[in-house]
Amino acid sequence: MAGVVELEIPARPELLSLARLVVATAASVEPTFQDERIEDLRVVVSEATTNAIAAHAELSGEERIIITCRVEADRVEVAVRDKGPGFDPGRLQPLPGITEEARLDVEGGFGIPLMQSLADEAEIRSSPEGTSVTLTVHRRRPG
Amino acid sequence: MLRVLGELDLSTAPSFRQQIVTAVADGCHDLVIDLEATDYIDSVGVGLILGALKRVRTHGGSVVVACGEERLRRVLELTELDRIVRVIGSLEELDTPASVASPGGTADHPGD
Repeated sequence: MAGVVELEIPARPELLSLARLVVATAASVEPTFQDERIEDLRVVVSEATTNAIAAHAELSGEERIIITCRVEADRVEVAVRDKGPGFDPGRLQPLPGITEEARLDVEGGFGIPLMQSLADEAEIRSSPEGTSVTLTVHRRRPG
Repeated sequence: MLRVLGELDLSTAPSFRQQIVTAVADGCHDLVIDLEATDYIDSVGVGLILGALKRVRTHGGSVVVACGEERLRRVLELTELDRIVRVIGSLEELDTPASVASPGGTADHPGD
C-alpha cells in the first residue's frame, strides 16, 4: 500500500534541505530501496524545488510550493507543484555543448537534464497558473 | 583553496559564489575547490563551478575539484562538468601543494 507524504513550503531556498530530508526519509521507510536511489531522489526533488522557488520569484511570497511524495514498494513518485508563470518545456533554449567556450557563459541549464538522468520517469506540465514536475525513481537503478 | 562544508545548493550558493569572486579578485587564478567535506551538490553547485572556471580562464587559470564521494561525483559526471574541470579523488593527488585562495577560504555551511 502506498504511503503519501505531502509538504507545503514557502518559496525559500533555506527550505530545500528540509524538502530533501523529508523525501529521503519517506523513501527510507521502504527497506528495499537502494541507498543510491535515495541519493538520486534527494537530488531530483531538490532540483525540481529549486526551479519552483525560482518560478515564485515575482510572486507575493504568500504562495506555497507543494511537494507530494508517494512511496510504493518498488518506486517513489515525487511531484513538485508551483504557482509560477509557467514555461514551455518543449521550447527550452538549447545550450552549447559542455566543451564549447560559449557554454561557460551560462551557469544554468543543468537542472532539467540532471533530473531526467537521475529519475526513471520525468513529466513536466506547465501553464500560466503554474508548473507541476513529477519524477519517479524506482527502487533500483537500471542495469 | 575553497572548501565547501555541508551542502551546496540554492541556499548556500550566494556565499560560495562570493568566496570565488573574492579569491579571483585577490589574484588566485588556480582554484582548488574542495568538496571532501561536502554533503550535497546539485546543478546549482555545478553552475557555480562553471562560473568559477569562466572567471579564472580569462586570467589563464584553472579549476580543480577534489571530490572522492561517489554520489557527489555522479552529479559532476552526469552534468559532464568532469569533462572541462579536473576532478581528483582527494587533495593528496595534487601535484603541488594547494595554494590558499584567500584568508577566508573556508566556506562554513551548516548541513541539515
